[in-house]
Amino acid sequence: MYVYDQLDRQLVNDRVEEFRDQVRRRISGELTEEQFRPLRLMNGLYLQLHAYMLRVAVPYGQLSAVQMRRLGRIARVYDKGYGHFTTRQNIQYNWPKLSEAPDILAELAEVEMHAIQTSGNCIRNTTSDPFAGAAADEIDDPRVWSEIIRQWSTLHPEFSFLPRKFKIAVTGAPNDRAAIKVHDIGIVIVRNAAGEIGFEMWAGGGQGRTPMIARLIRDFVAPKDLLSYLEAMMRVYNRFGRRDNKYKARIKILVHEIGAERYRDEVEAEWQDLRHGAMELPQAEIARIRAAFAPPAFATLPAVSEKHQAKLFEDRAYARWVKSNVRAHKVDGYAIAVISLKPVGGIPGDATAEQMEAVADFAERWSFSEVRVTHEQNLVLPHVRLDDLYDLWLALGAVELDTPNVGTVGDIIACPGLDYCSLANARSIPVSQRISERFADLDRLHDIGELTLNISGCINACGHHHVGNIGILGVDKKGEEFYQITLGGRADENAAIGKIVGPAFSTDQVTDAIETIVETYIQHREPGERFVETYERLGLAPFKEALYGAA
Amino acid sequence: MSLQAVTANRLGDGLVIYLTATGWSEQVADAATADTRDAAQALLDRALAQPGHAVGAELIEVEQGADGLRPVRYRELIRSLGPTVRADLGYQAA
Amino acid sequence: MALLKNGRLLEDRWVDADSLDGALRPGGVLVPLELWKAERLTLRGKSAVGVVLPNTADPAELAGDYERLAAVALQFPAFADGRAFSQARVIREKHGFKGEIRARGPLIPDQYLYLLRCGFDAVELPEGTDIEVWLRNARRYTTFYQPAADDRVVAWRRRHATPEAAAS
Repeated sequence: MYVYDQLDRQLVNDRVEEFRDQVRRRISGELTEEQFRPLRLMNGLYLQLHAYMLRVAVPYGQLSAVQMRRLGRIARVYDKGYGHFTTRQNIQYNWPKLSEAPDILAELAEVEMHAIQTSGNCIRNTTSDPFAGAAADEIDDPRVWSEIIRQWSTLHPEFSFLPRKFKIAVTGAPNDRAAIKVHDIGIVIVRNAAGEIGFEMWAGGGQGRTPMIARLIRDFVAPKDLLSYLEAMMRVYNRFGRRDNKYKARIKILVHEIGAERYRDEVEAEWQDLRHGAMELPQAEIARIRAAFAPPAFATLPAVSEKHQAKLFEDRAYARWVKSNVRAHKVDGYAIAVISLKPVGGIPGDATAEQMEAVADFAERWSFSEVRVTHEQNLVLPHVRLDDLYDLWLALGAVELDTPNVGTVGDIIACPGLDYCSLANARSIPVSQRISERFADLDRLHDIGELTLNISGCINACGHHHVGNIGILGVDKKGEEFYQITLGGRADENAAIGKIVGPAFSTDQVTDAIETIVETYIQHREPGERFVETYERLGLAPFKEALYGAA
Repeated sequence: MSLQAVTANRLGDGLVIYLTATGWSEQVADAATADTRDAAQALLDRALAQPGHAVGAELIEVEQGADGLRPVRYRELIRSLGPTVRADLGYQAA
Repeated sequence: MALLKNGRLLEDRWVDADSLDGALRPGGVLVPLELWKAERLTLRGKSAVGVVLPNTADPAELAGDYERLAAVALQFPAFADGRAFSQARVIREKHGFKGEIRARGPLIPDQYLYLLRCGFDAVELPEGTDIEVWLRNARRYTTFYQPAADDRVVAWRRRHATPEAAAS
């Protein structure tokens, strides 16, 4: 993984000192709150319902064991013993003090981490595939390009006061595990006819109030042109993005209002001025960063592990965990292990300091010290020997991280909601807890199969409910929490926005409603058909009827 | 008009505070109240005059409950107590 | 108003004029874009003239005039409205403008490095402003990840010593 050089270290250290000075000036009154707010946001520090919230960047979801261990320490020393992994692969702490925030950032800087630009109207954390470097369908490692984009976008002097936040995602595989089509800019690594690597550039995707799928702007950009093309895309947005209305300020509104063709024309015109200039990415730098992501020293192993096979046979619980939580690795004898942070009845995405430290230990022991964070709020050990998988599973069990529900209706993605977030209209966590408990039976869970369920506590859609196979949006109806259900969303390469199934459900009704939807699927499905496929075949009608009765 | 109080977040640690007759408290039960527009504005002005202590001061509706003053809006109730899903966190834990 | 330029807070000798007569007085005069467009031929003959661009204007509107202009004023209606950062870069990098680009609006010192990197060389500030905070912010960083309108050396050039980087 990428290791900081002196230039990188200097930047994060300078940033810590800058923020320390800004906090001092706020506390002394030199800076008003209005002036200070964008500065603290650009260091990921929000003011939420109960306290400040610090969002720490986990670039493209990649962590070393040392970094994960530090995140655990920060939870323990500066917070209340836990952290929350988010739908953008970051981690959030819910109880930091403003006065201690510079110290937290200093501790992060020691392990090559930061909270730079995790909020504010600037370019946010560039997210990517949590299976990068391990998945067999990868055309090129998206982390190389994500790291290049991370550096280019950091403290960018032209793009730090945009109309609104800006989110970029990169996928290196045709199976999109980074949801690029619902990002402001989405990048797909492809090969052209000559076999050369390049990028499809998509723009204008997003969720929130007006969910939209991104539009293809250019079907091939060569690596050396990546940054100049991104600059052109950003400059057109900075110039023309709306500034009059916060809810119409994202690039998706611009692309929608002027049309993808006109947006493309503006970008291409701008790019002609930029493409052969200083923005051309030097080969030496690409090579340097690529070298940082060289594969670890994989052992030469047989494709089949006798030990693993034997345990699958002997231990049904283990077999169930492997079925849901383990994915094929491109190297023989290895596997990708997904750690579910969705215990039955638990808080999705939360992990205690002890659990974080345990995962760090497991990574060191069994995964070349690498951990990943997924945008479904789970963790990944990307390179585990099949021979070691059973021991890992036992170890996960000892720290309650062995829930075998990844990719199922129990693997609920939920924003913090009204329990924590000052933007929320309704709570999301209790809803997820009750649904999780309703589907606690593992046999039933596994019979239902692949199903994504996302819950957002408000229209900002941080729970990504628009792209859940089942989406739940919390709303406030006359002071009471109600829940609107959507069906058919998808976050993958066939991205789709879910459709509202009907009138919203009360807190008491929503768990039954979800069960009704799942049962309807079970009744109608054809052999091997996943939930979303049954929905795509049959549409809303059978679900509407089951929920609300015949029309 | 309905009974109003002023709430904010404390600058240094971000915790929820309520304006009282003499200063600030973490307990909504201690909040100073106003039932006229002018009185409410006066409370808010007092809070806004302390940007070195309180951030995001605003008026909220409160009512007298069985255990004393409490917020009316559910969101504010959660702010006064803590996350509903973690009884061990926030003021409710005390 | 005063002017932060070259590390000092100077008296700002430029004035704004919104009529042709006002514009033709001696000394530095800044005119609105619309006046420049209406009276371009006359104004081009004046030395020490500059244009105030709305932050919605395309810098291309002054294409061909940049050699005649001594200054351009770009606007920040609010410090969070960053359109002028793009304008400044285009004016410097595409149009090769060599004169003064000044920033006008309620900017905060923490933006100063961004302003300099985008090609601004002056900021209009209230008289008596303590510029130490501004200067401190401009000096703070030494790692720059992206080329801009300035000549600060980008990280990738420092990493891969090239003849140009070695000479910087």
